Amino acid sequence: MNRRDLLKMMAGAAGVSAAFSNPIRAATTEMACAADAVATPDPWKTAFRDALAERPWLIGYEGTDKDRIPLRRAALQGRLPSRLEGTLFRNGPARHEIGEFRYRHWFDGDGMVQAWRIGDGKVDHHARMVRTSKYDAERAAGRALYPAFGTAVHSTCAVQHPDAINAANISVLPLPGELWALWEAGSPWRLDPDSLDTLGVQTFSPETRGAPFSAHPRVDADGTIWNFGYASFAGMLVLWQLDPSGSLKQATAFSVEPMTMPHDFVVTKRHLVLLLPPLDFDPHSDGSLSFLDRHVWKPGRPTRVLVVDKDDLNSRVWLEMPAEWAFHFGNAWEDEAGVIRFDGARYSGPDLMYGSLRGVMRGELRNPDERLARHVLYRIDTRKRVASQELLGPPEFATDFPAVDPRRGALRHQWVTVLGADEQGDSILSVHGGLDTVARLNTDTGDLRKYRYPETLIPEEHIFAPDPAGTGENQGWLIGTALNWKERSTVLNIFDANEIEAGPIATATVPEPMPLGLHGRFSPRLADAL
Amino acid sequence: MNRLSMICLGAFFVASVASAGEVFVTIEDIRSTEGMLYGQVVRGEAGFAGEDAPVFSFTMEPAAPSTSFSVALSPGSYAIRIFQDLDGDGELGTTLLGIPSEPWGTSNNAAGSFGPPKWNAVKFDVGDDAETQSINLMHY
Repeated sequence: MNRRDLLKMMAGAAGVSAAFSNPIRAATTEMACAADAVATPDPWKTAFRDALAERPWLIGYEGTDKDRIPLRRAALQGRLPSRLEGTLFRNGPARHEIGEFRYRHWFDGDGMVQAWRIGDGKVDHHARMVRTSKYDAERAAGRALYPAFGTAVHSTCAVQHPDAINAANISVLPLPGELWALWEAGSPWRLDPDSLDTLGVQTFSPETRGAPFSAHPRVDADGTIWNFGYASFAGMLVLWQLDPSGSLKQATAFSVEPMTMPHDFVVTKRHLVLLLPPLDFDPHSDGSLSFLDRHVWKPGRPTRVLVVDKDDLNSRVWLEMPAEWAFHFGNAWEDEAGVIRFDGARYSGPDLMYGSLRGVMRGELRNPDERLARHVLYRIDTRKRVASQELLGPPEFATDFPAVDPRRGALRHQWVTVLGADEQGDSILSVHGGLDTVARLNTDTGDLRKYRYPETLIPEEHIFAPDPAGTGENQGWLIGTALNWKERSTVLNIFDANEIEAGPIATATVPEPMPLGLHGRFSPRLADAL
Repeated sequence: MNRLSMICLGAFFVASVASAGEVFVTIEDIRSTEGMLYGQVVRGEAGFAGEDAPVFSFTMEPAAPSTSFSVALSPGSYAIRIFQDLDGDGELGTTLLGIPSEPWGTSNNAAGSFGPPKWNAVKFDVGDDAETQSINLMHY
């Protein structure tokens, strides 16, 4: 045993002190930890089971305990377009229950990525849970160990960096040779795009390790990838620029006070545009609450509009508009006068996220007081410092999940496709209380063309797959999944994007009721071998 | 295992040596011998918050996988924090968001959750008896 004297007084004592008093967000040593005892049976699980017996459409929210759904050939009806070839990757919360515990919010469950592989006159389907560190740790423990977005989970497990609680459950981004499963407050998780096996967490650089990379990156015509991320506990917003392969070109972080939780943003040829709603993260709120419940909606305060110059991410313009909430936007472009224009699904507030998206986890019907979104056209004039929005389409038509032909990215688009529903008075007619229609809206005229799904189907996001032989807007197909709760199957529907109202031209069905999910992307690439 | 005897250099320290309780500190999970280990012993919440100067600041050569030292402290509440300065810049390296990117640790192995550990988690009391602290470095 050596015995030595203290070498010297620390030269950089002041520096160390400063560093330690900075917000420290953590190290990664995973220590053995355990969850606090929870009530058994879990009242949410019991309530959901009881409701499911009465409302069979709730199977879409039951969740799965399967680690994978094996590859199988879908049964085809109609005719697959010969030029439609590629893979629709989808992601969404899928494991809603861990052991006896059921999550309290639809956004909480660990992600499962599905691949619908379309080509050679066939459609194949398979799916896998994303093997995040959280998923593996909780599966091994047989119980929830880490807090989720809308659920407080009490345990001795320290959360020292965002990826410790990353559920990788919101969307995907296909890249050359790789597929990323995206969460919103942490890093992408890398998957093998063919097998869907998890390869590990994506780290862009030592400095940006663990920094939030949102689930709605935008891709320029040249393949450049832009994204943002909100780091609530650090009170910072991160902006990302990646090259088409997914390698970091630049990232910058700056303080935003108060922080909020933007879910999507838009890009034009010259700018990034974020709407920051007055849903304030309160860092002084009760730390035993869920992340969602540590936010406060302040409808008397404005939505902040942030416009960032793509050529200089430090060049930022802030504007204001009345309080509103939005999850998703369509497409943005700039007119001759430099005015930024884009479309999106605008809610008057975030009550749906606090209400029904939670209530459905114990089998409750949608609260009719929660008004759904309406599609609007935004207009941001940074020179005159005016930000405004106006309704697009019929006032009774609720919308969300907008999709635009990606060939019109950052260009003026005429059509936006949405999921929607007629919201008459306080009610939506669908049995499940949600969006039951796929529709396209003309952004010039507000003209609405729609196809309403049969009552036994609950549609999910529909996205655009361009026809490689065409160049005109909407030359291609709208493709999207739906849960057939009656048959306990999942279907992939393919529409002619110029004739959505005529209904699907082809339907592929797998006898597996997949959990209702969130977002997907189409990649014009089939698996090499499966 | 190295054993370092800390010699107090502060006036406060010298004055209180007579009634000191000895604290034996072991630093565990040192994964490399690069850089120096920097550390502080702070007294009370004000010391932890950086309002009062550290009772004691030190620099040690790391020895993998562990090293130790002892320090004599007068009765009171204290905390210890340590980091390994792998890149030699004299500061705790952090990511863009302030997550420590160099190995670090605190008394009681308080890890912190959604942020740095709090005073209540890191503090330990020194009386007249010997005290031991085993600090595992955390690595991101």
